[in-house]
Amino acid sequence: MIQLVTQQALIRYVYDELAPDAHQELGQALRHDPALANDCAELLHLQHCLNAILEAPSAASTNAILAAARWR
Amino acid sequence: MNFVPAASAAPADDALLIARYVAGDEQAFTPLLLRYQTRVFTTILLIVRDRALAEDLVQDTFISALRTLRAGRYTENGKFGAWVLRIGHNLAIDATRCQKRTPTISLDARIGGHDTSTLTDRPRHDYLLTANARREAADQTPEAVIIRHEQNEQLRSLIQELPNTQRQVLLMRHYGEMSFQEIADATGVPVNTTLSRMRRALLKLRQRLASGGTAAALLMAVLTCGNPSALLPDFSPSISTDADDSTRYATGADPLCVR
Repeated sequence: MIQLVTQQALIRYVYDELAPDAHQELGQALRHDPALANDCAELLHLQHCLNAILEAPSAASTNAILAAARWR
Repeated sequence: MNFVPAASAAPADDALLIARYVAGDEQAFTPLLLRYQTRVFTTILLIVRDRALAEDLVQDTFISALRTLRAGRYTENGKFGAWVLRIGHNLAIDATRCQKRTPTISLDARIGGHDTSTLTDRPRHDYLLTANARREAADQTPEAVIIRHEQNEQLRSLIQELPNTQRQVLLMRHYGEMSFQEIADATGVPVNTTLSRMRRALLKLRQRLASGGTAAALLMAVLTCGNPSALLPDFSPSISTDADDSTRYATGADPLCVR
């Protein structure tokens, strides 16, 4: 069972919020800890899924905003 | 382990584009809009789950931001993306409160479906596929497209089912690109609480989504390049407010109200 602190560090890792030394340290740990690596893989997959549901607004909305951006 | 700020949270030229726009260069707003509208729209849509309403709210969001810029009251230097997303987030939360108070408004309009009849007569669009799905559909079998569409729908539903505090952190971090420290500051809770909420949110989503072989492939890619953020998409190329809007946001119960 991965400890809470490590899970939080893992979240920081996949969101690239760890300091360089900690990032490197965790990267090394991933190579030697299958359970940690599995958790990391799942988080990365989840990020991938979250990116897959990104949607742009309609062109009509974009055009309406751009029209509102005109100074006159 | 130490925090470092989210490096990609604010492209360096946001401030320059804002300065140009405020100085009268209308065209300077276009790249800002194109850079952030997808994340703002997605965040709003995940909260209200009504495409027509989300289209209205994304317009309201950016128009509100434009008013603040024009009035010279923009003070979020270097944080334009996070700021405009917070406006959109708060408008969406307000809208869902109105929906709950107004039972005649359809709550069944699904993001992936065509039933978008809600507040007013609004143009209908092609909702069947996400932008990403459209790009990928060309070299996918119909079955794969349908499965991906269903998975995306499932993920949207799961996100909406998250407790508000967890969903808030998830949306702000993933789509708003706010750092965990920035979210902690905005919500008035310790950063460890923010991380804990994010962990619980991700855990719930993970438990319900099957990853197949994609997860392992992504891990290998990260270990090879050493940079998880390199796998995230590069979003292509945001509003407060007149006095009424500012008051509305500042007095809302949501801790992420724009001030």
